[in-house]
Amino acid sequence: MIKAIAELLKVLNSETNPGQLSLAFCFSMIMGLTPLMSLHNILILLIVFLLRVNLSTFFLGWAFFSGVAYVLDPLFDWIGLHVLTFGPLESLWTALYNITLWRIEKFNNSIVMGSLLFSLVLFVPLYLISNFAVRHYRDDLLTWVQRLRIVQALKGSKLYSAYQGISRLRGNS
Amino acid sequence: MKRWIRWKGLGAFLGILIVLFIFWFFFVDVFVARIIEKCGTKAVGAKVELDQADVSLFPMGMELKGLQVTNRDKPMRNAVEISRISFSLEPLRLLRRKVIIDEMSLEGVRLDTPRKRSGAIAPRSGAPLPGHKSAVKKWLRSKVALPAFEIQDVHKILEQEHLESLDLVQSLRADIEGEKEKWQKRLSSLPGKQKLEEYRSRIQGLKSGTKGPLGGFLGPATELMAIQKDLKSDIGMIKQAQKDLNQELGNVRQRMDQARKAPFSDIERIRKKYGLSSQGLSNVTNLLFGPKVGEWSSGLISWYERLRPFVAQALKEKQGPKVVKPLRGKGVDVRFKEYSPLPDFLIRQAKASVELDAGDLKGQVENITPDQDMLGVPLTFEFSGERMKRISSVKITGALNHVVPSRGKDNIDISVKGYNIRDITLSDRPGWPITLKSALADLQLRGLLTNDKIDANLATNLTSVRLITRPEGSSGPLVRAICTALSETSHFAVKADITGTIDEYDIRLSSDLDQVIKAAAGGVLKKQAAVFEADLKKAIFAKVNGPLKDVEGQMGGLDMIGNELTSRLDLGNGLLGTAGGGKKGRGLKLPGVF
Repeated sequence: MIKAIAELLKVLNSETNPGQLSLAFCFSMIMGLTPLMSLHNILILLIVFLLRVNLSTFFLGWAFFSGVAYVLDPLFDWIGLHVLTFGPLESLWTALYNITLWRIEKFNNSIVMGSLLFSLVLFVPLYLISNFAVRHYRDDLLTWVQRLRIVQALKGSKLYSAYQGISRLRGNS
Repeated sequence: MKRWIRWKGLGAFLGILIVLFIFWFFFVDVFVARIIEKCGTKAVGAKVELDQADVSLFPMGMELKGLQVTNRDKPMRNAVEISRISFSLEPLRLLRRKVIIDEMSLEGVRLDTPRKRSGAIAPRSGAPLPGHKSAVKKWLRSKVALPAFEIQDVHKILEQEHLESLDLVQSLRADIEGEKEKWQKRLSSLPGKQKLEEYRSRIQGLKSGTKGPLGGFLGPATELMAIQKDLKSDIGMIKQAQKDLNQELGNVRQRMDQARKAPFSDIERIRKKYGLSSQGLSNVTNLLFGPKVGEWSSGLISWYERLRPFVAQALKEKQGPKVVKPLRGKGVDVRFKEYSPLPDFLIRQAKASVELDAGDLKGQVENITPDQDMLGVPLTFEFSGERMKRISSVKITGALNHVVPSRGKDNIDISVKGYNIRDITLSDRPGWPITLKSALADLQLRGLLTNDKIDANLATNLTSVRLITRPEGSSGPLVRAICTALSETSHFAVKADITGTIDEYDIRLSSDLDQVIKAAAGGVLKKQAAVFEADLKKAIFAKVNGPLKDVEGQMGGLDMIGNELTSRLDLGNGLLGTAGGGKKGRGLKLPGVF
């Protein structure tokens, strides 16, 4: 976990495209908020591995959103149940219910439907906000953070030096 | 494009999938076995154990070995044990969460086998019996009571029994004693003969001109009126007392009559309780076959109730999306209409070979599903066996029809021919042991269950019967007569009709054996019953007659009080006549008056 946080700080401070970080964060939101054993999560995993999104950000975000999901489950259940029992959509759900692929997806489960809708709706706004936040961090906050005494102390510690050494060794090998 | 695509990532993704697949390949069998054990245990309420599960992908199917399902009511026995179960699944339907099995094969099915370890999962002490078991117990208590076949000692019976007649006589005696004391006190407070004689002296005084106690102040006429008034008052008191006493005597006589009749009620009650009756002889069929028929019917219903949840789901609403299984934290699954509806679980055909003590049965069950309404056809079963170890032939057919869930209709037909019965204990009661050593039985059972209402009948014909009876040396002539009749019986038939509901049913048993016993032992029974009644009468009257005579004596005391009152009243009335207070023209003629 510490390694993943260090990696995240490193890429935040590097020249990595903010879009790669934001996209990883957004995909981790879908993966974390929706039940793990869902068909769409295999697709998310494939996309995350195939696209050059930042994996450390993705795995950290996944852990973070899994915790959030535990709190938001009742909300997802409420959203999902209302959407699935919404009269005008019944014919659509009935049609999907009769397609094997959608049955494997378990779209008719209230938490799957609620959490998937919730995360899809938030996907684009979160992407834009994350992009903005990364840029703002690099432009305005990075210099200030690096000047902080605690960061200076951390960088001067033996632990950080040892970590840097190991990272260099790994990078060379 | 290259800036955004990471081809190595695709390799990593495939690598993860391969690792997962290998993990599944090696551990799926263990997982499946544990899931079957866990779900089975939860469904049965007792341990379900499985030795081995083998899942295959091509073709998709499963093989289960060594399945043991504990009998919940007897944790040291298995309700069913199956050596091998194999079946194939339809993979596409499985992806849609439909378990559709075209053909299942069950080999080495054995019922009621012993277990090495208890299969109980929780203590069941104090748990109420299932409805049908309570019904059997209730029926056995009411119909299968051992009739009295031996005359009992009346003196011993009377030591245990409470005689109501004796109570009545003793209470009457105490009451009469109390009444007697009360009336003696009242008698002493009433004007006695001495006082009445004083009136005579006063009247005589007036007649002879002697001044009475008031003579100095009042004239003779006034004195006479005063005497008449006092006398009338005293007579009135005596009359009232006599009236009260007569009323009391009436009550006491009525109770006396009841006390005289009471011993006959006691005799009748005790005779019915301990005496011998021909009804006891007609109860021999219930006595001999009741427990077995009760046990079999309870066993059949018990199996039915175990299987019913797998074929009859609760009534379901048909219109609109349905929300099922609300599970906390897991959401709810909303079900929608299917274009080609199929049950979630269906075994189209299950072939089984059942190993019984009497021999092997082979057969099949078709359309096992909890959603018969969706499938549109009922579950049917058919088992048969020919030339088995102890049975010439057996055929079991039936159906569990819950296609219309609100109108369930289940039926079973069992036909057994040439069943070679050996050593069945019909009665193990002390002094009355009976064993069916051997017989050849033909049995026909037809059962119909419509919405929990049972209508079943069983007809059995037994030939080449050998009944072993061993009456004790001290057994009476009646038991000996019955035992002789039974041991000489070579054939008989038993019929049973079961009606009612699953939880409250009644079994009516009849057999020509009752007629055989009645003919053999009816005469002995009548004679024994008459002797018992005579002895009982004698003993009860010996107890009651003494206190009854005492009460009659006390009644005499009350009568004497009545006589005393009558004599005082006669005396008073006579004096009143003399004093001119009685009838006209018979009054006293005073000198110088009138």
